[in-house]
Amino acid sequence: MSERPIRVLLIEDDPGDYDIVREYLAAPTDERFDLEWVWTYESGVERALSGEHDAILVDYRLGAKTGAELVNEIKAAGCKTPVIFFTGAKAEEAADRAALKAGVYDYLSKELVDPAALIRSIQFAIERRKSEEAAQRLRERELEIGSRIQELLLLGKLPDNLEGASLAGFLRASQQVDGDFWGFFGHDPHRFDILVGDVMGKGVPAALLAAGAKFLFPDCIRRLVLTGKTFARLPDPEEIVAAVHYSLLTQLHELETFVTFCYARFDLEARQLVFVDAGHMPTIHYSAETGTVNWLQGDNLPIGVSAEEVYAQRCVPFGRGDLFVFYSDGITEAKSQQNELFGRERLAQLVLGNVDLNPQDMADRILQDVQEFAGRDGIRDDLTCLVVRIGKEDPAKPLAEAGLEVFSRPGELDSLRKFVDWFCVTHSQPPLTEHERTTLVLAVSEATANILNHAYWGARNRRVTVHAMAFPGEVHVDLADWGRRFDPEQVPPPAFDGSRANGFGVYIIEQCVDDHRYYRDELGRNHLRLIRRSGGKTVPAPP
Amino acid sequence: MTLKTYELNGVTIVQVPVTTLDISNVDEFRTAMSAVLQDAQNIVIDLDQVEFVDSSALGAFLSFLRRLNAAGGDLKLARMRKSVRTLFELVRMHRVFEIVDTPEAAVELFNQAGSKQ
Repeated sequence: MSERPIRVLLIEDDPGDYDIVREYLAAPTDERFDLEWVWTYESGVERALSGEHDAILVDYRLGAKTGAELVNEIKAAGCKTPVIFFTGAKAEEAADRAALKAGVYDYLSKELVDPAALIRSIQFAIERRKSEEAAQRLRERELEIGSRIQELLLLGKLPDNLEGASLAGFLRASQQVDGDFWGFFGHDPHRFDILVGDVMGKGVPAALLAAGAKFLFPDCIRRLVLTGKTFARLPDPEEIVAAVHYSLLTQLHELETFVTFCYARFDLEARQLVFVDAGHMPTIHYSAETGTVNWLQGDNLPIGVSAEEVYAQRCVPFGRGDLFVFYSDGITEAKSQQNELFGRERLAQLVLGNVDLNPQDMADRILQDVQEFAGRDGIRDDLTCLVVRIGKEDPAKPLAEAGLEVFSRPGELDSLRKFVDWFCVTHSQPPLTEHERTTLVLAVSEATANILNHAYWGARNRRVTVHAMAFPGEVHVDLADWGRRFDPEQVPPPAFDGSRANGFGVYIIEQCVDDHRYYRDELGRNHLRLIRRSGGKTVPAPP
Repeated sequence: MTLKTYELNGVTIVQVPVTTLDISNVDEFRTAMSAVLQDAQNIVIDLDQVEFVDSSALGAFLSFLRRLNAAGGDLKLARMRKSVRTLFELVRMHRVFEIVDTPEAAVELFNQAGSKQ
């Protein structure tokens, strides 16, 4: 029993039928009905579109037009009210089929129906409409969640402190969650891998497979390295892809799908790109030196297609200022209103016309152009794009480096100090003076004591990593820990009159080194980088 | 930590037997010094062996100084190595502590001051 009357719209050109319906709906029952009657096609459409009714009864014949035409018209205009055909004609098969096609909820014969049947039909139509709406909302909610997961999991964060290169990109899911994915895997300051891929298929299943496939790459790298398969050498892209291919083969076969991707390693030292193209879009390579664009393509099949496929990598040298643009077919296959495809050439021209933009601006520009080109309806697939620019300067490489890992025990401070002292004596170029060494060692000792006391709050079984690097004219010491983050702003300044004994640690660090920086790396470790320069800061001489 | 002490003209000289004074042994140092602080009023700490001192040890020295001053006495530091002196100068503690070359010179200063009174 609902609180308010059920509002029914009757579109019927025969007044006699109206009388019957009116009587039926007035029959004693739990429900009350508000009946509105219109008798022309046009007013039927108008009233139906008002959205003020819970159900619509339409005569199958409405003068020159049919109820089916009316239903099609109001549905096209977005009317969601359930419609019931109401007709005097006996079993008309054509009418039945038309009713089904028109998406009508029920089909009642005026001759056969009684009040109970009519009322029941209206009630069922309304209930069915409600559960359809609930299902639709659930679907939308799932897609929303899936899309968020896709964004967070599959995309991950791109590094913003890479030396020697910069990257940016976007992945815009289509109307539903989809199979596009990308990955960034950094190995050391000079080498990182890019992965841009697409699982064939749509929806959550494709996205799930994409997530699984993506994470298989670093897992295969791990297995290849840690199980000694490559004797601690970083595996080549073709080895990684072969391992992923072999791991996924059976599953992809069973799921009857495949994965296209491009896996590319940037080696900033060797200045070359080594990539495997498994049925993916050709990558755009803009050469700063020649000012032209090249298409990078391999000729391997997507994984999941053939068990016997042998994956082979290609090498491409690059120079400073070069650009690489990886993308998915969602971009090149975006269609304009005139049914024109965005295409590779247009994308290449866009890159050529904007070579001075940084990767983020370039990516934004590409997205904007594609969206403008395609309008609302032209984009059917995920839009994925990753832009990599090779920096103008090579990342600085230390002349020498050494590392030490200690437990968070005060007794270890001595070996740490001796290590830093030894490193400076042996490797600093030009050699640091005794005074410069003393102050650096003091700063390292104080900083480590802070880690022990504050970051690790006195715990004695944690680790501290010390990484010393010698660059021309300076020595860097990088301390890393997994403890509480230290905020130097929170430390009160020391008192120099001897009235207070604490607060000197931070002050000493600041005074002893030429530069220092607290930061967090991409794995969440805290770092303090101390820098001592040859001929740099000196402690003020006593008066 | 066992501190070697001896007396010279009414002043107690403390020899620090370790090469470093830092967070790993500063508590031990304080404990060992507390016995000395109870009995003596004027103290000289001989830092001949000490190669490294950190801020926590500095804090210990400051607390000894304050305690002695409160009881009408004083603390001087002798035979400080260059590397240790760097720390003291950095935090300007060379103005708070009197730093002398030898324990004998410190004793001399104590006696001069005493005779002035």
